[in-house]
This record gives sequence, structure tokens and C-alpha cells, in this order.
Amino acid sequence: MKKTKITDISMLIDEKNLKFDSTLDRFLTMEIPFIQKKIEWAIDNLNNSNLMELAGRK
Amino acid sequence: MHLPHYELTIGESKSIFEFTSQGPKGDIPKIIVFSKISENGLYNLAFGDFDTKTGYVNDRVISNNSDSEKVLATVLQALYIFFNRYPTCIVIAKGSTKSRTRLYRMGISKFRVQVNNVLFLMGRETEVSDWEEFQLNKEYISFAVQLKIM
Repeated sequence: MKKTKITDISMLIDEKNLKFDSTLDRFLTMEIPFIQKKIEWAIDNLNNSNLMELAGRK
Repeated sequence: MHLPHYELTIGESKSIFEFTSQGPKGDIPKIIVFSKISENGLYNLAFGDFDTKTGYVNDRVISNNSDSEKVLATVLQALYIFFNRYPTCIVIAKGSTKSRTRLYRMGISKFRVQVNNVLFLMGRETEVSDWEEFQLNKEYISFAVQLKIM
């Protein structure tokens, strides 16, 4: 199989397997427990971390 | 070029996605949410069982629906779509259990070669260790990814 060098993220998106539903966005403002837990972890995890530096943002 | 994955339904914001895992345990609705953590572009990826039609949350650790590779490839598709919309963001993720973290690690290792030109992958071995560039065969407990500058 011929290998294609990926140079742009859009080359990796399978547009044929996508559907849009604008009503989904309402869940972004809801406090869904398992999502809240992940957000709390992420905020805690940022403190005293070198992540932004490694990502070249500092 | 695209790995087998489920059809994704996307919100207008392109930061919430749903799909249905199909296997021996039946149809299991899944949700993927990218939540903004900080003003400097850090997002958290949350992934779990949640039916957006009924509001039903399933906290079972592993669905065991014999489709883990297809599920991971679907999460990866969501990540590509998110980055296509928000190219300067950093996404961090952690499995909710050791087995799910192991699954993430296996998935990242498997897809690493394919995404190496476009994504910068990072990992963290403990909650107190430094983040580092992702290396194969290291047991990271959390992961971060950003788009490489093209």
C-alpha cells in the first residue's frame, strides 16, 4: 500500500463519517459528573507542572 | 488511510462528539468532550459512556464490547476534528482507571507513527513528575498532545 505523508491534520479527518447536531452543545454547560471529575483533575494537574514549558508556551 | 472507526455526531462547537459502540454487549452510547481548562488554550479530553438522548451515565469501568481499537480510532478522529478547529490548543487526558490508561497508552503507541508529522505527544509518569516527550514503552499515567507547527 502506498504511504501518504501527512502534512496537514485535515488529511486525517474522515468527512464521510460525520454528522452534525447543534443540540449536542447544550451538554457543554451541564455538570456531568464524570466530566467534572476530569476537569478538576486537569486543573489540579496543571499546578507546579512543566507542561506549558514543554509545549513551548513559556 | 483512515482506520476503521464509528460514525461521529458533532456539536457545532466541535468540542463535543457522540458515537455508538457496537458489539456483543449491545449498543453503548459514548461521549467525547473537550473542556476548556485555562485561558491559555489548555483543554481536557473526557471520554465515557453517556447517552445524550436519555441522560443516562454508565460508570462501568470497561464496556468489554470487543471493539477497543475501533473506539480508540474514533476518539482519535474526534481529536483531529478538534485540532482542525482549534489548532493552537493543548489537550490533556488521563484514563479513569489503570486499565483505561493502559488502553490509551496502547492506542497512542499504535497510532504514533501515523500522527508523528502533525502531533506532538507528551506523557507524565506520575502526578509529580515532569511532563516529557512521549516515548514508547514508558508507563505514563497522563497524556498531552498539541499540533506541531506546520
